[in-house]
Amino acid sequence: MNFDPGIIARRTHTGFNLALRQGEAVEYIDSDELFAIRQKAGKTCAVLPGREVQTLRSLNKLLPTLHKYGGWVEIGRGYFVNLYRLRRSERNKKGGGYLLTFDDGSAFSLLSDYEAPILEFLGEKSLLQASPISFPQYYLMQMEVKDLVKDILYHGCPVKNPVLIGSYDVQGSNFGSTT
Amino acid sequence: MAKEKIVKPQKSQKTAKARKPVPAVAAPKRPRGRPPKPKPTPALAPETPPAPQPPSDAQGLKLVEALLVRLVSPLKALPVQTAEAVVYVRPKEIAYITTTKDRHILIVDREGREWQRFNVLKKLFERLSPDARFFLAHKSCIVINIFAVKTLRKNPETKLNELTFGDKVKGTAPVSGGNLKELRARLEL
Repeated sequence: MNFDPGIIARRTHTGFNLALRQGEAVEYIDSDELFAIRQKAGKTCAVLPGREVQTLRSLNKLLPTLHKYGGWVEIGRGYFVNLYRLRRSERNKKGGGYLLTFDDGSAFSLLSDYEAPILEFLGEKSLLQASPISFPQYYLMQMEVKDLVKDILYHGCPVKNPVLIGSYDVQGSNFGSTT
Repeated sequence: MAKEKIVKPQKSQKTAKARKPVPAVAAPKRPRGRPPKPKPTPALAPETPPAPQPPSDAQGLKLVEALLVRLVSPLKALPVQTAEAVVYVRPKEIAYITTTKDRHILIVDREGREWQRFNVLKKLFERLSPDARFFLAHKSCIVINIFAVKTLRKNPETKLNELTFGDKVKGTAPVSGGNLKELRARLEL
């Protein structure tokens, strides 16, 4: 059996340490808490639940470590995300590409050119459809029906009070389940 | 009075010849006195089980692999379909997987949320089988996460063995009689 690198580190929350600038002090966090690392105006920032902090090391120095642990994929120029914390993928309504939502509700837009390594990591063919997909669902999505107020997943039984499914709650409690 | 002669029956010669005098053999002397007490034998050391042999390299690798699988799921998140997006459910969050009347797959997570996929349960179980936490509880319709099981009980109405998964998960998962023994072993009952 092939194990992904860093499985025990993720399970036991003992990944690599990342140093963050906190004024004059330095804060160390575990890599398992990270959602993304990105470059912003020449500075490297770590995206954590609810905050974004500048790192002590530059992205170029961090890259070998990220590649060693696996699961870190580039979704834009100088923008790396931790795919082990990925929760949801959908079409980006504001622009092109996709929108990736993570465990705490933070969302990052993914450019279409960077799609391939993510699909390879997930072992899927598309970020919008989980294969195999039912034909009603497939055709509705091919027609680019975006705001569905009908519970098409339960197309066998009519719904009296349709509820917008797939809506995302910022608190992280509802990721669009069918219940 | 005439004396009656008592005629002794004469032994036939044949019988006389057949009976040969047995030579006198000295009988073994009986030991006199009390029999000697048996000598106390030195106490034997209690039998110690043989030391287990160190596992071979292949066995050791298998053991490590089994422990790793028990500690960490080797599977990646399972994508499920909603109307707008694809949601990724982690294997450790799944409580059980069953089929609906429409022959879709219904995934129930530990929070009681339900998700759907559109493939066949058997193929999905093949995909999940590298992870030791998943067990085919019923041949046709149920795959359960062993680590999410809270109770194993017998339903008095249906007389079937059922598994429950805590307060948040409303549904129960039936267990077929043929798989019950293996399930008990997996649950260490």
